[in-house]
Amino acid sequence: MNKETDKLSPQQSLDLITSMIDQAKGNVRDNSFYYLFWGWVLIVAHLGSFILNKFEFKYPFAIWLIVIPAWIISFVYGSQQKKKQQRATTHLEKINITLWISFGVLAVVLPFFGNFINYQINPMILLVGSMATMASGVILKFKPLMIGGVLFFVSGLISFFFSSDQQSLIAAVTIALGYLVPGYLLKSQK
Amino acid sequence: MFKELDPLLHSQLRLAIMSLLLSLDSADFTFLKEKTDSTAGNLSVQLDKLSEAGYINVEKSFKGKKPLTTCKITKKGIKAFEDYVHSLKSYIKP
Repeated sequence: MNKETDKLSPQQSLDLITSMIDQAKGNVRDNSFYYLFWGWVLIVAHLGSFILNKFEFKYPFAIWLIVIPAWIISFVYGSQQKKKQQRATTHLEKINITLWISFGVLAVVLPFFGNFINYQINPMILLVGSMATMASGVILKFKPLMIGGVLFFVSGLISFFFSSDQQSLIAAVTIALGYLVPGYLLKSQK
Repeated sequence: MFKELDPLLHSQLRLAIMSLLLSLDSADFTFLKEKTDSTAGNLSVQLDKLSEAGYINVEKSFKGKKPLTTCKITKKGIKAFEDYVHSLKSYIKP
């Protein structure tokens, strides 16, 4: 780009603004890793708690401890990506990240308040997850995730009619179809 | 009536920087350098000017051992940019 002494005509100014805004727009990063990683972690946790329940294991919820290393891996991966390639962050990326972190915090905290909501934790998390998945789909302009969001919503409502270990199965299937499949599609698309 | 154009924005490189930052949450020095196709020296001078005027916020930190400069547009910068575009319109409208 040239020296500052260059005279700009109004039209040149507008062209420059437009071209720079376009440059900034095309800066969306591939974050399918999170969808695949968390998709699998959550499916394993749900299936695991279903199986442990079947074997009448005393603490079937212990399987959920795997989300602790999963959070750590997520953060380490995130900060490494930041080091490797982060040069600019768009508003939409920031919204997307904040959305999922808020959801993650809710998912960790809600179980401690389970007795207030009759332990209907799975349906609640699916319903809130439906909002996050839908919003992500809109942010990334990616239809499979939007459909996933609808699926989460429907599954969340249906879950209320089932027992807690059946809810785990429903959640595992919902995550596979509404989250993991879109994650793989997202990855193959880039 | 032609409105006066903000001289701080009416320069190719500074206008390019402001347009980029307007559409982003934040951007680092290397990103701006690449997208505006400018030299490090010139970019650094223009960033200082914009920062002195309060149009952008420049934060210096370290990424490992390398220095990292992160820029963000300020509210004042957004206002100035809007005014600039508004004045531009008066030149373009017949």
